[in-house]
Amino acid sequence: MKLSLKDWPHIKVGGLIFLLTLSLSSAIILLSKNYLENIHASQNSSQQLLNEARRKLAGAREDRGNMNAYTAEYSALLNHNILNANQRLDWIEGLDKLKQQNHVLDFKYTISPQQNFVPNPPLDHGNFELKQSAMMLQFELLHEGQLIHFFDALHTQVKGRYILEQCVLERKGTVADNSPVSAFNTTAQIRATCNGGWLALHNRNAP
Amino acid sequence: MSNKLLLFLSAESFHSYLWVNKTLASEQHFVDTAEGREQFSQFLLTQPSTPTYLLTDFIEEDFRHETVPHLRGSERSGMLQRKFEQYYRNTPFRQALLLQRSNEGRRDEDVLFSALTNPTHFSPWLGILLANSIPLAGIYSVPNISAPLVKDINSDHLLLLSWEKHAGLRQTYFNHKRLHFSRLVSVNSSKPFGEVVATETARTEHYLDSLSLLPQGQVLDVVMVCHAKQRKEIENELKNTDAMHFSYLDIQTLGKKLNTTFDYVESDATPLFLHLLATKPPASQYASAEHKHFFNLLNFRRNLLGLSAALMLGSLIWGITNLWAGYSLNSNSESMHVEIQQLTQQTQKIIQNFPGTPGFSKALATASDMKTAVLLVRKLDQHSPSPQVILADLSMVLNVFPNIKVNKLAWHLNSIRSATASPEHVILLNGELQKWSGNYRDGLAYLEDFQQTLSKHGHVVTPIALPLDVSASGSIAINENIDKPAQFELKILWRPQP
Repeated sequence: MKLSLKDWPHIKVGGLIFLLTLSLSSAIILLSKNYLENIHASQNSSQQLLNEARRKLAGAREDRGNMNAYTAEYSALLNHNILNANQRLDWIEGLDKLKQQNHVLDFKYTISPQQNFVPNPPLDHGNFELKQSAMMLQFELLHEGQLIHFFDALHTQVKGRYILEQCVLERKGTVADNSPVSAFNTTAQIRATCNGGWLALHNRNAP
Repeated sequence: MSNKLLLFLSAESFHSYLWVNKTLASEQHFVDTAEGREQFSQFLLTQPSTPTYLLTDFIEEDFRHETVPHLRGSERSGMLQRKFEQYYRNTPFRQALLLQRSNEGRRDEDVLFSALTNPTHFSPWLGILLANSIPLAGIYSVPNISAPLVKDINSDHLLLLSWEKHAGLRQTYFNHKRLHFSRLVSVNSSKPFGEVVATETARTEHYLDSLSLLPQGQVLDVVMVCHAKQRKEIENELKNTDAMHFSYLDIQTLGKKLNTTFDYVESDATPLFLHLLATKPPASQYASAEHKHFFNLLNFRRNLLGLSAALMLGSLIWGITNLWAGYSLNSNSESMHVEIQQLTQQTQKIIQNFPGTPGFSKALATASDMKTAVLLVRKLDQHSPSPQVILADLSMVLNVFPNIKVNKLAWHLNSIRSATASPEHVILLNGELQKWSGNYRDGLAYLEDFQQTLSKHGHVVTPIALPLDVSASGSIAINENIDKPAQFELKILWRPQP
């Protein structure tokens, strides 16, 4: 069938209705599609928020568990001035107190400036920076038991955490006469030199 | 089924019928005068978009049977056009009906060429239809729409007789149920109808015989469509012969079979044919594309409307589906928002109830930092156990070996990275054997015993120096002074017990 302009009056109503329907249909499809896409986007956003809320709740629960498990120990660390502190006065006062308690015949100590501390093997220290003030101790001992008692007392009575790294105990008589400690108490049987450091943890997130 | 306008045109009259609700209604008659044509034109104004079917019943309808080669496309169209020009040059109302195609050889086709040879009968009416832009579906003839009446009759050579009140007696020959020939004769009211039927039937039989359409000795089955009232009259005139055998189809029974609602009170088969035209119009008809133009436009318009409806329905379904999906998702979103709120409240409650560190602000450290600090210090404590812990086992073993005098004892954390989690300390023990008699064997055995005992306590002992190096790689220097102490040095690896 061939159409010509003369046929337009016969099909104009149908044609116009078709065009109108086409426009309306397109509008309906586009609008509904847009609506659905917007809803999808909103749904995705809500889902993300929900996931985030679930994550936060799980995190809060984990934090609660951690706090329940570690608060007491953490408090003890705070009490011992191990965290965010460099309480040299505490160490000196504590060591003086130990001297008066005569756990050993005599001892001397040297504390070096604080430096970064890298444990061996390496450990995960999270948000904390590890610092150490090296301290060398020289002892005059009657017997090795005195050394043990001294370090027990150092651990329990002095605020701070002394990390003992090495010790050398030598029976007197095997040490050269010109050693620095030969002028000390001559009843000492054992001379000991120990090296370690006072540990400090600095929290990067602390105000 | 939509309404239709059915027109019946014969040489004597022109009638219109409306086909409404599968029923013939509103019969009108139009005379072939200027006034009659004007009335018809006015009538058509009331049916501007009604599909119109024109049924003709003329004497001047010619049939020509021919076998033609099997062709396709433009070749076929060209061949048929040449035939039309050859046989029916003076009329545009012609058609070629394919009867059958041979299955062998060239697959020649049996074609029935037919035409309305006197277009002046209906050209005026046709002109009015076209002038009023009436959608003409086709121009049909009674023979061409008669085939459904004979499809259930078991006969290969059948002559169907029907009477149309405004046309005459129609005799249509079917060969193996395919139209081959038809003729119309006027019925002279001066003679009994039965007599006319008998006379004209015999003529037709002779004509068919002369064309060799009937095989030699073949009996022609003649079937008459008539009303029961007239059957007796006709039966008296129609006698079976060697050449013809007569039977009758009751028009009312036929009508019911075809589901017509028309009440047949006489043998006039016009309503029957009009019903067939309305319900089963054949594909073949005499109207050209030009005649059917407005019908095609009507179909195009209807298709556009149909397409519009389908488009609108489809888009509404699509839109509603999207809206429904969006509504469902929205409901889901709302429940998610409620859940988000609940989770946030739970989180806030937990955070507000976090245990504070005694004597310090609650906000001093996060739980994660607390855990890190505690575990870190624990690990560092593990790496640097107290001297008591390191030397406990050694001290216990030394108590069991009183002859061993420790001159120097040193320990430090092993700098070699250990494959295990717990750190390893190296203890260097420098000592001498007391109360040694100078018997190297006893002395070495004593030291060996000491080492074995340390090993049993989990230490790894490596002798660095012994009183006498009896290994194959060692050098020996014996001093006659037996008072010199038997010195030794051991390297002992200690690891904290888990």
